[in-house]
Amino acid sequence: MNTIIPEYLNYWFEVGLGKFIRIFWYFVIFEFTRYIIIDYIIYGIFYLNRHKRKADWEVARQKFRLENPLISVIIPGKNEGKHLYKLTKSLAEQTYTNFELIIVDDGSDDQTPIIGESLRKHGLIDLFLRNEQRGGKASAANLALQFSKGKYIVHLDADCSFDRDAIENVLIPFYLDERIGAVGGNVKVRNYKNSLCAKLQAIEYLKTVSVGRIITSYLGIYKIISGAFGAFKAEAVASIGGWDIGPGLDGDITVKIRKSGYKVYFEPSAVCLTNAPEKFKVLTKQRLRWDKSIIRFRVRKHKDVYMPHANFRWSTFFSLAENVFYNVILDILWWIYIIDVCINYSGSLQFVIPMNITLYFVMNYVQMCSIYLFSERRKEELYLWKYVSLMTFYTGMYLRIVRTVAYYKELFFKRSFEDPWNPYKSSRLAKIHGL
Amino acid sequence: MFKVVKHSNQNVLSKDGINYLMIEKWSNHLEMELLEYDAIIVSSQNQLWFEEIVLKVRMHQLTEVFLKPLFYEQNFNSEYSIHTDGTFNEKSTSTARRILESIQTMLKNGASNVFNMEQRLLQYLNTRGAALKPKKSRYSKIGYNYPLLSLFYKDKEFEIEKQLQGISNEGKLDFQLIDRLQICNDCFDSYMIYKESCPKCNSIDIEAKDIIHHFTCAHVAPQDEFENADNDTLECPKCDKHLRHIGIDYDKPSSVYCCKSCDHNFQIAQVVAECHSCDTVNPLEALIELSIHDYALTMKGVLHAEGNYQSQATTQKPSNDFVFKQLIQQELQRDFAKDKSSFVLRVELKGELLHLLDSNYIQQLWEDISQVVKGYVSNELCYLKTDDIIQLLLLDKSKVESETLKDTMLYNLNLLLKDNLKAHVQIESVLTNIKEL
Repeated sequence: MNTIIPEYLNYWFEVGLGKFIRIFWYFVIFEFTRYIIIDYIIYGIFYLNRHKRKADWEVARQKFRLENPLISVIIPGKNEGKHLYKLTKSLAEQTYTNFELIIVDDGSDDQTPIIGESLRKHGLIDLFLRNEQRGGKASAANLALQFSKGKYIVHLDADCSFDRDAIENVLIPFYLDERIGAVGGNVKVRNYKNSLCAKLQAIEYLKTVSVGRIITSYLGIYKIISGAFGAFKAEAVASIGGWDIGPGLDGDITVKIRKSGYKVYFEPSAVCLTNAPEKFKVLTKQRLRWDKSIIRFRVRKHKDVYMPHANFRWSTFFSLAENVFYNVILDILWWIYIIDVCINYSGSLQFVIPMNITLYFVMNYVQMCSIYLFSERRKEELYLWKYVSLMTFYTGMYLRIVRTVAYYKELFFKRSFEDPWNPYKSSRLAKIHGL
Repeated sequence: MFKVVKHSNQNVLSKDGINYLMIEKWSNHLEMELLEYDAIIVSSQNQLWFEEIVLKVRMHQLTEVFLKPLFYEQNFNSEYSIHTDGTFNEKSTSTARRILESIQTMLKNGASNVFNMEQRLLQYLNTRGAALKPKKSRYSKIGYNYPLLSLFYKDKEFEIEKQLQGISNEGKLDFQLIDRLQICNDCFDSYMIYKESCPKCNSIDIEAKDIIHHFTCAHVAPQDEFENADNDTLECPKCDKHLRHIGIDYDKPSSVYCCKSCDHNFQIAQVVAECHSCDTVNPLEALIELSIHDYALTMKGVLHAEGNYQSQATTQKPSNDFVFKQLIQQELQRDFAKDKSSFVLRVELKGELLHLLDSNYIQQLWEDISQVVKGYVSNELCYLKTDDIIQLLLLDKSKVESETLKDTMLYNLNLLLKDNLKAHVQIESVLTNIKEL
């Protein structure tokens, strides 16, 4: 040990900046630029504009309150009965109350129909619809849409709970800019204390959802309104025919709204808490499903956004291109980088690997600082800081491997169409029609 | 061989040692005269006269009279016929004898004149060996009546059924389920009009629509949005594709009602029952469920009817009986401060007409009184209740304090009884120093 550390440090002092960048080109060019430099620049802009943004927000809030529009809160799902009472209680606490609550039971085979009907009878739900035959989440959401009367549609997941002002805050952005057609809420992990798996996801959500979406939204390339909490202009959703078949229908509808000419916005103050998988096995299944949808929707179904045509929009192009580049291309590049290092620096791996880990370790904490700057729950999230060191392995290794498997399965075998998350009867036809 | 004797303006018939009074028309002097005869024959040719005689006999206040064998000569097919013992014929003597023997047994056992329906019913069923059977009736609010009870109650079939169930619960009547009815919560009528309505505005102007789910694009909408009137095909409004085959291209996962009055959509229509008599709109869960039964006397019922029934229940000692007595023993050994002692306050329910009240009612009343009395002692161990007396142990009190407590309690209890009971019933109590026990 007495000789290893000085030797290690001496190696990196002698390498020089040029060679350092050559060895860690993947980190320097992509990771550091995207996740550190851009985050801090945008935080700086946010800080400088904070007064104007606050004033604009207040004006929008007054307009919203003055209009007091009817909102349709829709919750499609299967076997979600056990969450419904808690959800209705959470919604009853909202500062904005002019909403109708529509719950669609998509062919549940548990007590959901009894619970839902009972809640409706007690006036906690305005409309409880049940499909005797399961049609998939998209069809359930579309059924709710069919009977909604609100000017805006708020789509929720049944296992979520909400800050008291969440519904109000997710709607105010529609009054900031009338071209906004959809607003995404800020989804955070509620059960982060339950397991290491949930803790790491909580940090990941803070990076990719809370801060990541602030950045993409500011840049105008925000590409996914989470199904757990998103608001839509009813006319915008109606014009695109509602949701299409999933899995990954939330990303799909966001692209469809963008393609129909609307802006998409992320609102960090509209906070929703959800339960993340607590076991890596469950998480792996979930991520395989999510990652396959990038290939299915962003590469295949919506490939037209990359082509020059009458409705071409640069923002939509960059939105999808950024998504595909930072997920699919960089994933491939990462494997190329590993091969590059193994071939060209096979003799120095004892120096390269620790340095790589060190770089990601430092970057994760620097990134956590930016999360701290943006966050509205700073004190509670301090709990997670001690687990940030593990993110190097979580995002750098685990998620990357899962992603690679998902892309491989979807690119070559179109496995998302076989996912039991969606009923076979509709997946089969979606595959035939390339949807 | 019949021997007919002219007796005032009625005929008297003697047969096999039984004296029948033949009555053609009711007159008031018969009220007491009936006692002198064993049985009655209605010889009237007029149905109204016949019915009046049956009514007067069966509503008679004296047990011995209202239970008398009653025959008729002409059958009018009247609803009152059921209250008789049939046409007078060769078999009537044996019938009359059997009834008379049964009446005699009851009278020997000290059966007194009773005016409540329960005891009269038990006695009548016992003397006739009859069962109480309901009959469907268009004129009854609940759709059934008990012809045997129709003289006692008119238009109170619901109350009768409830009362019979009460008697049955006491084990005096055996029962067999005949029907189960849903009746109006307001007027107890069984004639309901069931209808589906909007759960929001209660309008019956609602329309059901099938919902279609198009598999390919996940579009879901009512069927009429898919219908192409020009060529009678189904076409998806979202993706313009033809829907050819149910189960392959599309399915109908549900149907939805639309209210034409308030535009509310819902899947489960509210079913309400509107009462044909009082127009009350009852939600189904508010309807009263009423069971209709056949009833027959049990052995307990027979014993009750004959006045032979001795309660099998033994008076159980209260659970704290021992502790209560121990407390008194301890108090006796204690040195009290000047003017202080412990007292036992005995509380009893008294009243001249107490024995006429229903035993269940008295039991419930006693329970209610005991709950109030219990509030006057701080510790439940100082409270001892049996079936007819409550004792309170008032610890470490002066005589004045104890008297005040007793007076207050008595005043409050008697006020309570006076407000709630018309019968003359009152609470009495005695205060005793434990040293004088």
